[in-house]
Amino acid sequence: MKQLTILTLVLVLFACQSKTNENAKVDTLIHKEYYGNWVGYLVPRFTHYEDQFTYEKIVLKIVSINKEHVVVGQTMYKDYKHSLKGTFNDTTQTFTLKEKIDDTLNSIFEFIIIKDTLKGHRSYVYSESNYVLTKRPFVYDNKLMLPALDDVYDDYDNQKYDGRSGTTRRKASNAILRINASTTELKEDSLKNLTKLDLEIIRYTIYARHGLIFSDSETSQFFNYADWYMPVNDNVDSQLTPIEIKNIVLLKRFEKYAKENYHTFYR
Amino acid sequence: MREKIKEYPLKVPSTKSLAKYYPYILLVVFSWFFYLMVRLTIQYFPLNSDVAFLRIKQTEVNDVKLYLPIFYVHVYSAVFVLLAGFTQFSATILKKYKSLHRNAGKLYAIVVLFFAAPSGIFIGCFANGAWHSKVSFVVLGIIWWLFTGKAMLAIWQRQFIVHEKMMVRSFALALSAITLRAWKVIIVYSFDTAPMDTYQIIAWLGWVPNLLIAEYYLHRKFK
Repeated sequence: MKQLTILTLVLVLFACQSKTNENAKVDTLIHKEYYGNWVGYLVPRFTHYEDQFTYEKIVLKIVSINKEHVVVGQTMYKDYKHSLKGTFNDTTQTFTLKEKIDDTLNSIFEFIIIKDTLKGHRSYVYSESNYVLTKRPFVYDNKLMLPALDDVYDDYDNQKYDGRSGTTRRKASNAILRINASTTELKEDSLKNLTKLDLEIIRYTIYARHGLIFSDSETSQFFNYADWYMPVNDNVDSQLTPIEIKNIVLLKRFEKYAKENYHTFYR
Repeated sequence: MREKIKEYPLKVPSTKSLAKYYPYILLVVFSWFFYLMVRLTIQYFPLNSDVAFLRIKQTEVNDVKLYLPIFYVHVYSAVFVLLAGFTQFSATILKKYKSLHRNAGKLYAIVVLFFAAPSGIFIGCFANGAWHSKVSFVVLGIIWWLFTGKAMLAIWQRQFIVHEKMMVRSFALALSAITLRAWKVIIVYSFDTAPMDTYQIIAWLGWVPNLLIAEYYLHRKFK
């Protein structure tokens, strides 16, 4: 009897405890309608010409706003991410957040949210940009393809400067707009005529569909201008579908072969 | 009818004094490419179903049971075929070391007739690219085999001139192993073409010019 009483007391206390914790959690978070992924482009403010290719893809994630109006969030770009922290002013309905780029560098994000649009600007020691972002949940769609754009699918990050012939860089073919490595199981025949850059882009697009934040600009440079691309995940290896895993193995094999044999005497 | 050819076999009559160095220059160039072919063959040691060129032929390796062994016959026999280039076109060797010429020649003929050409025809049926690549390699294999066979029949019947002509043609085709790859390097360097587009060009470019040059050489020598 005594043991039963003690047991009941412990259980009741435990139940009460969790209930108060939950209430406490619920009570401190406000403005939940603002939480989520806001995606769009950073547009540099002082450009000499209207050039869409100076835009930078950004996902601004608002994680929480507590009772004291302290906002916690993240900025995610195609190849890196930073933490956001700041305040929300109820009267002016303005967010003022500090983006921590590294130990010494910060930038300031100042924006307002009107319905489903987030509008503001970013002050950074090296540049000023404006942005208009829309709220969008990340949804995996295996049918997404890269948009057809001129001059985007060149390997700018690896271009070579040669005194005689100027700048040379690898160019991708239209195969990257046609071949979907997430929906169809690729056959050797369709890959044999592709250059290493084509194969790489087709493989990276698999990761881009899963919302990967790439590890360097060499791999991510091709996705900056794809409207559907949302860099939100650090590691997508566990989310790859069986078809994608098979295709990645095949593409890597062909890439290695191209790397070793494209230019050489050995075939 | 000509009685005897005094200059035998690789001395083309020419008035330029530099001409006497041609054979030596050719020998040096040939040695360099022979070395590259040896290095290429070494990639295929030890036996492996997924090495070098085979990495993009996995469909054939998996679906066609005989593909892998016949492919290896072709790869391993190549170096022995090319060895003939060092001995068979030397007038000195023919004059002073006749048995070397004969034995090296027999090695060449046996390897080509029983190993290199038949295997080439077989794997040619599965060549990368469209039907015209396959046609090119199969035709190459067949006429290489025919020239070599005819050359051996000729020498057994002591028909020296027919033997020489047929062997020049045969070896010109054997050299396609080298010229095909050399063209590939040149074309890729000059035009940055896609891999299969390049391949389909060199499937023909690799041996047809060789044969034309051989015919021109024979025409000039034996006119």
